[in-house]
Amino acid sequence: MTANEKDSALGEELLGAQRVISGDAAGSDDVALSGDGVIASPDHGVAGRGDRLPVDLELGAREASGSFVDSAGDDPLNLVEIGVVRGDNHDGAGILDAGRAFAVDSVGTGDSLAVGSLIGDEVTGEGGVIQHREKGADEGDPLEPLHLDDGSDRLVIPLWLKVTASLIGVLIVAALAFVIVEPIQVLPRIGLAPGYALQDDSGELTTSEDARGALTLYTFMPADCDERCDDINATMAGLAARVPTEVKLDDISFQLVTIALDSPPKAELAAASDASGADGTNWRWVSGDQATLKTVVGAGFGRFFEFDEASGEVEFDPAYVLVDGWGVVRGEYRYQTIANDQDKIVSHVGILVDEVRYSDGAAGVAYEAAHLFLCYP
Amino acid sequence: MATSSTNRRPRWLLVLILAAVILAGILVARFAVSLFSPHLYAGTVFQQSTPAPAMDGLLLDTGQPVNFGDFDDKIVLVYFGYTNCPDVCPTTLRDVAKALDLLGDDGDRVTLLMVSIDPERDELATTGEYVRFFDERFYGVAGAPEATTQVASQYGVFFQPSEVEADGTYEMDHTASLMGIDTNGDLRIVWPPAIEAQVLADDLKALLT
Repeated sequence: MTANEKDSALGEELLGAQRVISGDAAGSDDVALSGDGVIASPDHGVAGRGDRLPVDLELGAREASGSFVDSAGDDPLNLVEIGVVRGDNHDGAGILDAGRAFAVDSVGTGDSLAVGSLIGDEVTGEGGVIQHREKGADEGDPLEPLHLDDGSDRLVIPLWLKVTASLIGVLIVAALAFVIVEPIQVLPRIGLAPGYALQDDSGELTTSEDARGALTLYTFMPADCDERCDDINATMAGLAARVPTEVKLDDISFQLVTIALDSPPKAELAAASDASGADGTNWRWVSGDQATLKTVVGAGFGRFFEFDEASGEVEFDPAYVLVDGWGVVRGEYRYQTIANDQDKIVSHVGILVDEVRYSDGAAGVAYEAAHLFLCYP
Repeated sequence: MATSSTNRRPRWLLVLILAAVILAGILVARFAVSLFSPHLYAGTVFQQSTPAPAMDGLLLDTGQPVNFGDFDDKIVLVYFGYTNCPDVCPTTLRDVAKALDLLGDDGDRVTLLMVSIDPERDELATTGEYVRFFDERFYGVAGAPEATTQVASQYGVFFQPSEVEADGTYEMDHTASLMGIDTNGDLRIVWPPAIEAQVLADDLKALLT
């Protein structure tokens, strides 16, 4: 290999690193560079791989010279070479020994710079591209592409952008993990439960405000009902017994309300309540006139029913509605679905109780995230 | 000429740099968390689209029917009260007005409708004058008792007159929640009674962004 071939190989090898060496350009003809270079090889006896050394170059219109010096300005490093390479084939310049002038037409923005050492046949060092930057000028668009000698562009991404992008990536991965694993489950907030004032079997008014702060399960059926209602009553009775034992309620109240759809007299309401096993405290039967029931049950809870006053018959759509202590509907259960109503409702009451218990402070953020990501059972 | 030497930094400098990097990392992480963490609403938020119940049969004090689409991309707060209300209604209206003031210019992007739950005594014009005593951006809403009952129930509001006093006066027992309807006409949030002005302003600010 001739000296020129070695020089050319060195230039190409060094340029392969394409490290940016920034500097200040006073114009297209005269460039003064200063900054840090990085030695990429450990084999020159003095500096090691990754050591940072100041670069001090003066490049003129038709010549360039420079030196690689350590911070103390002594301790010479043999065979350090500096060159300027221009164009795709690097024909216009060579690699010269440090301190020697060499011929180029001019040095300016986009020119490539090679700094390194040649030991025997081994090429070490690195290359870079001169960035035109006026002294004191604004940094400009950090994402402006850097034009390389081979005609390609390279995007220089600043550190702050990398850090921000990494954080966003971590958050996205965390959100995905949250959605997939669902460490917290919540019941959807379906809508507002209606406000009401209905009479219980003792003639006392029971209002929606009485249910504030308590988890309330509503069901709807006529007081004068045939065997169609047996299963509904059995489910309500089962829940009245199971929820306090299977869900850790602590100070959270759970109550059941059966709304009689046939506007029965007090005595009939009381009889139906007794027959169902309701205790009148945690499980109450209430009713009202048909106009009120239409507003509350029909429009408010969205449950279909039709009362034939002449025959006293009621057509209705059996269902249960779970309402939280803020008066928000959290669960709607159509009677006779595939899953057992009791099991499902007990489970959902447990989920609601957990949300009530843990929805303050930092845990509240997690619960809101569960709502946001629709982590529903 | 070319010179070089090994680059040896003292240990204390490395420790200092490491500490600075850790500190910068913490600051960046805190910034990122504050940037991406969701606002924790004081009210109960509905994630799914829930159209606000229509106010059929009720009128604004301008004489027009209530149509949420007429409010020019404003958040509409709905409150059920009455003009003879001794405590919770004026307190709530005052706090809402204060919250809108705290929002600055964004306060103009919010309005409030107070639906009278005392249709026997509250006239439409009187209700309007009453609420604008608290803030010029508020509207009064009233209608027949049946329509009022139906609308109130749809908003989860219960009301009934209390016992009549010896002088013939009476108060109204009623739900004092505050509802928020977004610019799409969806019911988005329900605040419990006695919400503080600053807390309400924070929630509204989050809803507006």
